Amino acid sequence: MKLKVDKKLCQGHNRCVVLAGDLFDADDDGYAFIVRQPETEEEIQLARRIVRACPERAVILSED
Amino acid sequence: MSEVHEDFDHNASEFRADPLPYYKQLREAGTGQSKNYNGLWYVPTYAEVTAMAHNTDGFSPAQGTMFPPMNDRPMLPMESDPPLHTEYRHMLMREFAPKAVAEWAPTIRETARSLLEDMFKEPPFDLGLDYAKLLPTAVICKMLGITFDPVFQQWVEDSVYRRISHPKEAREATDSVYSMFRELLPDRRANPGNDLVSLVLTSEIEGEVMDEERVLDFCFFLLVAGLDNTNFTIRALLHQMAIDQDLQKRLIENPDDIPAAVEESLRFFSPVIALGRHATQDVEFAGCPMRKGDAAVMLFGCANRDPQEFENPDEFDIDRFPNRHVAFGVGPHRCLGSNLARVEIAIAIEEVLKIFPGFKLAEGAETRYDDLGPLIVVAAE
Repeated sequence: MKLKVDKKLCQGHNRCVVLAGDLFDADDDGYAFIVRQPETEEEIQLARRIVRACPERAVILSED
Repeated sequence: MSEVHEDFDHNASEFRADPLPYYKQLREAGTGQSKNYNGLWYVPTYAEVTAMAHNTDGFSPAQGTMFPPMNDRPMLPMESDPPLHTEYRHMLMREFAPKAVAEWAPTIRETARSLLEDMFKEPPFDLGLDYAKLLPTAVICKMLGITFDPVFQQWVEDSVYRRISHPKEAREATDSVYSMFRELLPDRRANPGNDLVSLVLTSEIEGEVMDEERVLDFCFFLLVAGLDNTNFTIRALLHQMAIDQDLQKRLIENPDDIPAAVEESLRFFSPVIALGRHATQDVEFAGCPMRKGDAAVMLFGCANRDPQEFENPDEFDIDRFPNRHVAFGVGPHRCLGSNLARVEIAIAIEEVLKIFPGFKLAEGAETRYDDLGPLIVVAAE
């Protein structure tokens, strides 16, 4: 399982950082990046929620 | 051409006063062309709005985004195309990114408190007019490095909302904003500071600093862009909390829920109802044959009530998830000030709840929309 932000799609809405600050942060220009991969089942559920919350569909959680 | 689009005018007062029935009909018909504004296309659904916003090759904001236009000069950086747009954005991104905005938060809070203190000195007061309306103006003035003057708010409102009913006054208001900046540029050029005007003056675009007229276009839009929209959203959420005391109680007891309430307010009240594009080539969009140069308006307010994207869209629900509203637009032209606006609205609400928990509407207060809206006026007789 891998959590990613598609840099080409991210427009800096910052929703992921607000909703899951342990997993995401914003760089100085406001674009999101992954701080660390989700580990616990709770964090994986949270990551799944962020995939749904991103207005640009830029957050990807690959299940393999 | 569907009948509902044919006569539709997004500036009509009947629509502004009660948009929901129009929204429903427009969404059910999908994108269609109006007879107004030389055949303006209206784009109503969530899927269509996001598709147009993302299609920056096919639809450009550079020939204007407002119908009728606010003035004959571009609102920058919004009304430009890549690669220029990318450079403009890059110049300003950092100043409006979450980190930079977080550094402004203490100033925003101090400003909010001081406005509330001043307001309490002179009862009776109006949280809309004496607080919500002044906060975004005071904050952006600090960011621009200019002295706060409530007349700026009046200029902006005249410039935006009176451009149909009173075009001459609107034009004069726009000119007043340009003149104010034109007068301060020589000094700012000689003594650049840590402010947005200095940043625009000194930044290189396409390898050189920008000429004065383009700098002024930036100054104008940086002042205008966040005033009435942020003010409107603060007022709309305050109003919602006044008429829904359970919501207010919940936000007093759980201030951590305020950001979710802000998001739902942005969706529900959609301060920017509509912004437009022009087709860069003949294209079929949402089954409609658009010609090169045709203008189309994305109805953000309508998309934000689309049941295909939002369950029970006409319910104000701060627990809504996901809430992928398009109040700030989407795609490369996403509102540059969205992070600032969110923080301003949240702080504005927090400070009111600290000082004034349990506030209600005044006896006899009425809600109405002004002119072109989206100004909600809550007035007591």
